[in-house]
Amino acid sequence: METVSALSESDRSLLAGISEGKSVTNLQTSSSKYRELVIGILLQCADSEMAGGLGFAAALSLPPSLAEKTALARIAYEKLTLADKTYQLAAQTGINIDKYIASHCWEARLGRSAVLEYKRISADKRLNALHFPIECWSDLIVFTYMMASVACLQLEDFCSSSFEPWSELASTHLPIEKSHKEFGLSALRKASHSESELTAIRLSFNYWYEKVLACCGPPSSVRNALFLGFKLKASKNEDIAKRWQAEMAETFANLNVIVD
Amino acid sequence: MQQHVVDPEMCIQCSACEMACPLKAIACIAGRFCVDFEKCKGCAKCIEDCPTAACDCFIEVAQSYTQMEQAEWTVLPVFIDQSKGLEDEK
Repeated sequence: METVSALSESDRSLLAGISEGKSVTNLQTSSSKYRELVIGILLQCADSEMAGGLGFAAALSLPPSLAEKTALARIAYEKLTLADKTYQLAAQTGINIDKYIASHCWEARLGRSAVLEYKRISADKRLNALHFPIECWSDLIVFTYMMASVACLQLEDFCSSSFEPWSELASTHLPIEKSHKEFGLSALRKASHSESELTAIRLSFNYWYEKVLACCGPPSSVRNALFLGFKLKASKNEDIAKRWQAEMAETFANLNVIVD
Repeated sequence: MQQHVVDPEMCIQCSACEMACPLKAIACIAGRFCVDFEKCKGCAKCIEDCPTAACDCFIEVAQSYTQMEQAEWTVLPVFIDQSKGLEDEK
């Protein structure tokens, strides 16, 4: 591993144990690098659910039907619940979660034309696509489907994490994220029957695709090599990205959003 | 004036800030990460690497806190000791 030489003795010892199949149950007794990596994952997931949930709450006027508004309200609630459970796990490190939550502006979004790619621009750790505003119904359903798909792929990866409390929590989050993905997909299927809506979906697809793809993380990431070494993740960023791209290609071709 | 410090309520003692600082301005004292006011030039490398934004913390002070003083904090000083805070300037 490229960065193993920079690790402390306790990090190396933990790394050796994990490579032999041991898991971690308590962050307080783990090594400093492991704690840093785990809290990075937990806060990225929790912050993304938090920003996503509050973004959806602000978008409740967009769904055309009452049933869809109710479903979106349920998703917003579930995302905040997932965030809460993940923050409670992060609290194991001693971080003051109430203060952390109060320190960030979760509803804040950039302008539509901003360019971020992999650049971090806020003190919170939300995935970058969550910095962009949702403007219309087609935007909302394309975004929901794409982001929930990324979240599902990442949660599947976390289900085998060496940090046991997180692998257990990720496996309980996965079916909920899958239901959010299903909401996006069924709304896309319904909307794609109308030619005018299909045009709007194509525009939204073009807007969100690269932004959500960037949420898979940069290829050949040194940090990801550490995640893999400590078995906090099982897949390279580029492998997650390839799986997501294949899924998007199939779904959006079936919906006639992308044409060969 | 502003002093760059590490928020003890946000810090998980991972040492990412200490490793990131090119000027060795951050040291771990009694389990707390403390910023040397004289050495820190505000390059923000520690802020970039801190996983919890504990390093993204600047407090208004009339007189800077030493690293030994920071090592005693469990919360930021505005809540526990205002002797060096702006309250004194009033």
